[in-house]
Amino acid sequence: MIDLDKALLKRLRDRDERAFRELVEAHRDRVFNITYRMLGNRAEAEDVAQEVFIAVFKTIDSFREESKFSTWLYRVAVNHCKNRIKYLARRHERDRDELDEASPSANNASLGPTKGARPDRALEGAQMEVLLQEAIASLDEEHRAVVILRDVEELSIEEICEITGLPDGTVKSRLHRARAALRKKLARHVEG
Amino acid sequence: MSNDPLQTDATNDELTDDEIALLSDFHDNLLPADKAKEVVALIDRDPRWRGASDDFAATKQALSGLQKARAPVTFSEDLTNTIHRRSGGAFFGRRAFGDRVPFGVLLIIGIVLIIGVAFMLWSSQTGSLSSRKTNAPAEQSGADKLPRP
Repeated sequence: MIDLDKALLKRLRDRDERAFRELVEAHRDRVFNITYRMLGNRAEAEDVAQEVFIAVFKTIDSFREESKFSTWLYRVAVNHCKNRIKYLARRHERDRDELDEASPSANNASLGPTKGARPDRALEGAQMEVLLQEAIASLDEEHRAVVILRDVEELSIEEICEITGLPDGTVKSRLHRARAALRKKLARHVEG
Repeated sequence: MSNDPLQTDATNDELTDDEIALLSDFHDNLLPADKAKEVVALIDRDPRWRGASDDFAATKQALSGLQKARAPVTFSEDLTNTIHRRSGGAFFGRRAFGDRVPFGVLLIIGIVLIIGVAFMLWSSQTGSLSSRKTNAPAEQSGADKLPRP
């Protein structure tokens, strides 16, 4: 099934600037939401979302119309996010090593889950959002991608299989593990 | 322990991986009706299942209730600028007709031209738009000038 107009696809392949703008306008919020939820940082999310569209523009000729365009777009987005997470983790490790050398007590200032938040308020509004984002960020990138695509973006298991290139069973098991991990983390926060 | 997650092990406080998988499928409406009924029965009678199910539902609801992050308003413009900068303006090889031709400027030039031509016609002595009436007496027709025989 294809969700991209044939005429628009042709214009995209002709590198029609207006067609690119139409495409960006149609998908930017969804792509940004995925990158933001995957990375948990607006600046990084915006940067990666831009890279996603640039990659899509560059490789639009390789898009085979066998799957939905959005599936292909989200696959590019998820892969870019995974790469960025790995890159950031490496950079964080390097920075931490440098900090360790400079100050042995620097580890105490590491970013961890919010502690001391009152449970009754933790589940409300913005604080819940922060807790959830932290809980999502604590998952590894494979589990994070699956749970975001399923529970945040509300895509079907079939679509997630196409996006991740994983078999049905693997997607489900990752989803189960991710939810169970989130459940534990959130319960810990709520229980104080 | 049995491999069937519906055969519960009440001695353990935590659900096993298989049980979690089953519960997760239940919350995703992926179970056939008979299995779903069995899970409902388990949730009703087993506090472990009930607690886990409530937690699952709350987690799922919280995730789906996360605010949709919107891209910055300048996203498209920033992206286009980035592409132009990186490609030196060469990326968008064939631009659309509307991008190549500045219709707005053409419209203004056209209006100015029309006004200019209209003014010239208006101010001209012989222009068809001239409304000036001449006071000079009408010239006599040639027949009147002919000498009578």
